[in-house]
Amino acid sequence: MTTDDGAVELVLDRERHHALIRIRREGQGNRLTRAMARQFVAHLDTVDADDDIKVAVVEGAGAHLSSGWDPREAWEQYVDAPGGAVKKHPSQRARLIALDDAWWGRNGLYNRLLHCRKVTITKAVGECYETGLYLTLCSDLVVAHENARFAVPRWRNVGVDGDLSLLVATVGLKRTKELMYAGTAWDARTALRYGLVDGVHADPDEEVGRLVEMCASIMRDGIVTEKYAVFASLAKMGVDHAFAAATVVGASLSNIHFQPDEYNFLADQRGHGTAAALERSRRHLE
Amino acid sequence: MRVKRWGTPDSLAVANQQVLYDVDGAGVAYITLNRPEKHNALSVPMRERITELVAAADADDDVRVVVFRGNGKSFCSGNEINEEWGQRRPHERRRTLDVGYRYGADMAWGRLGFSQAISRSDKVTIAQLHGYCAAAAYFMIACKCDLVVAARDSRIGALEARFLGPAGAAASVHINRILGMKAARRTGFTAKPMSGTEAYDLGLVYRCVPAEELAPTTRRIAGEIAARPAGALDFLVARLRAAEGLMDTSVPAITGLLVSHFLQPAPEELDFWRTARQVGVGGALDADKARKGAADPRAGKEPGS
Amino acid sequence: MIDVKVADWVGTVQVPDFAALTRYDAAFAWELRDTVVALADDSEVKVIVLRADGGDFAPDVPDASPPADRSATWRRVFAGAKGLYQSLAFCKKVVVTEVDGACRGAGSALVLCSDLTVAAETSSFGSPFMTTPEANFVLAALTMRLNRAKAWAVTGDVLDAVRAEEVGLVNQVVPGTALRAEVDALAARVTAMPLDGVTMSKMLLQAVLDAHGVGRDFDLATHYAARRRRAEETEAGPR
Repeated sequence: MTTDDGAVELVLDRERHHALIRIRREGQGNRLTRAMARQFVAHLDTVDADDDIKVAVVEGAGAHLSSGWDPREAWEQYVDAPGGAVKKHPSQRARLIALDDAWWGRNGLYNRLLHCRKVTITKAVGECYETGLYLTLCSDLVVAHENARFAVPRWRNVGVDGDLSLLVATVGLKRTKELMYAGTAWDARTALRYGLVDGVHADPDEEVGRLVEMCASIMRDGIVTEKYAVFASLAKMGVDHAFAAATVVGASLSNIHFQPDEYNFLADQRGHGTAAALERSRRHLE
Repeated sequence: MRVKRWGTPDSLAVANQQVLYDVDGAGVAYITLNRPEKHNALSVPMRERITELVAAADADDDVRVVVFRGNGKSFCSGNEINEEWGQRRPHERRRTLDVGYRYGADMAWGRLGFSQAISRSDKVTIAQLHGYCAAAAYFMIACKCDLVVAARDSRIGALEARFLGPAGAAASVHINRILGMKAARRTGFTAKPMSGTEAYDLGLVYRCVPAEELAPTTRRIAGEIAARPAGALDFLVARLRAAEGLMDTSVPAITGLLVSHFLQPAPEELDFWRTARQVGVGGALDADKARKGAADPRAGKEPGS
Repeated sequence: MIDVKVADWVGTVQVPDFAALTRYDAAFAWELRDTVVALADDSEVKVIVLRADGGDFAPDVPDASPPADRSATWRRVFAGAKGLYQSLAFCKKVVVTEVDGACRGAGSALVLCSDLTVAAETSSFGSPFMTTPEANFVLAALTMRLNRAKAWAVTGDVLDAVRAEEVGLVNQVVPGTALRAEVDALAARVTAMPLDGVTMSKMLLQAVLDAHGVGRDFDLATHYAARRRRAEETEAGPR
């Protein structure tokens, strides 16, 4: 796998009872591909199965946690999914399966991180967009760097196709809608004030280290028991339902029809390349 | 047939003095925890008494508001953890699941437990916090009341979470709805207490004041609410209770039952229960503090100082 | 009385104020409801702005009387699934409320049902639950967090603009002189999203709100109104 394709690394430190899951695709802002999501999930399986690991830390190599998912796969993921196509148009079941398998379903990245049996700590640095935001929402504790920014710029291109239940339960309804509709990016201080992150630090590594040590001193039985309590309340708060709804709406939105004056990201990407389209479609965040 | 009252002869005998009840002339009932030598730790009979007193307040048309408060240095340090209340019969080598149900559900968070008696009260409920508000006092009293008034230097949270094993209840739906999802999780996985000010910023606390203003401020707030027209207040409380039912905020997580009885520390992990039985709760806290990564919930400024 | 303009994907609804809703003026409420429904169904509209030009968004109505819960008109116009509040809360387009001055009673129910709220620095917000039993408490709890919503309801506190922003009830607080321009700018930002994207995101939101209990709280409005009516009779009768 070339560097540009990206990888997700796993480093285990059984002595200190912690695992490090690191996203490595620095040249592309750590944008996640489906292959990287699958790798990430495999690492979570390893973490869950290892009794000496009590805490998993999620971070991105370089300047950003993750600035989104890879838009080059936006259409390709549907084409590759099982379910067939009619005149090059993937079936609706293929679109549902693609979103479910990689992101929202039982073994999708977000659901899997949310249901990790160990304490999960995400280090939010730089751009935490789209995938970066959901890694933040799906982990137990979040330590943010002062330069962290949270947004879902893609929603402005295609409409809202991600889970809303975690966002609403974390930051509240009107702030969720601000992220949905106003094309806003929250800086680290705003994220702290809204309750999206647990702390903002000039040196997040030090705080992550402290939290790892603290959580690693909890008894194993206690951690896993608490996680099952968390799973029970997530179910009661409708998170599974919201993930399923996000999958259905996401698949529906792949059939979007653009009005004459509306910006079409995929057309821009086809015409001018991914980097130019990303730059143009995210300019409003600056 | 008579319902059995659980507890030792001693704890049963003093429960009425350990939880006091009085009603002022302004429609406010006070349920006062009065076991200051133990930071008002709740024995089983004390919890039963709270259930009975909430029922008494509910049945009293002259009561509009119920205030929970504590005498001494703290509001309450949670459930008494080193208590023999009749949980083991001579032939039983360890606690039965039958006892686990009684202790975890009937005596704590279940439909028959004291915490749900508070959350379903027909009156407006207020928790007045100072010093420690820990463990069960946090998620079974403070988070179940409609309003919380706190001294700035209160220490609020699941402080037992790290050394006893997280209690599960900190993950429950109502705490997620009160604090937001991240802070709810934080209180479950770190032993870090919230100050009154932090709890205000998160939305748990309604008013946060210097310790010396706590009692008069609570009295004033309770009095103002009690002075609202009776029918209007009845309506508002009924309105809130219905919506809380819709939001499914009433029942904490079931895993609390496991936590109370069956967690097993690994060889290198601290056995808090055994240590507490040997050297007392304070000694067990000291033993915990000496461990790597441990955060002593008592560290820093003493509440009330 | 209700002035409507549509331009650049934004439908702006302008009235002197919204206190008529607290007074249960059914004719006004139904006209407003029809306006919202028509704009939501207009494929040239992505955003609906609710604006009052009389200084106060919804001034207090001291002599407001609670609705008769058996009234078919009240159920149809205010409380029912096709009534005003649910037409807003489950609207197909993004609803923005522009709040200047006093926002009381039904005005706060409108704010809770709207997606985004911009408030003038001098604005203030009273709880809607006493005057307006069909106001949605679950929306308040999801917006402000549970205990803040409870305190707002039980104490009768009026929140100033700064506090309303702190607790998440409003998105933005701006000087009164800049209010209209800020709302227009926000509405313009929302229109950057494709029309199909706006409507599908509202479909997703509807599913999530319903799962959180918002729909069920609306469905119980008749019970709340009956209880409110009884409270009124308790106050009027001998104690």
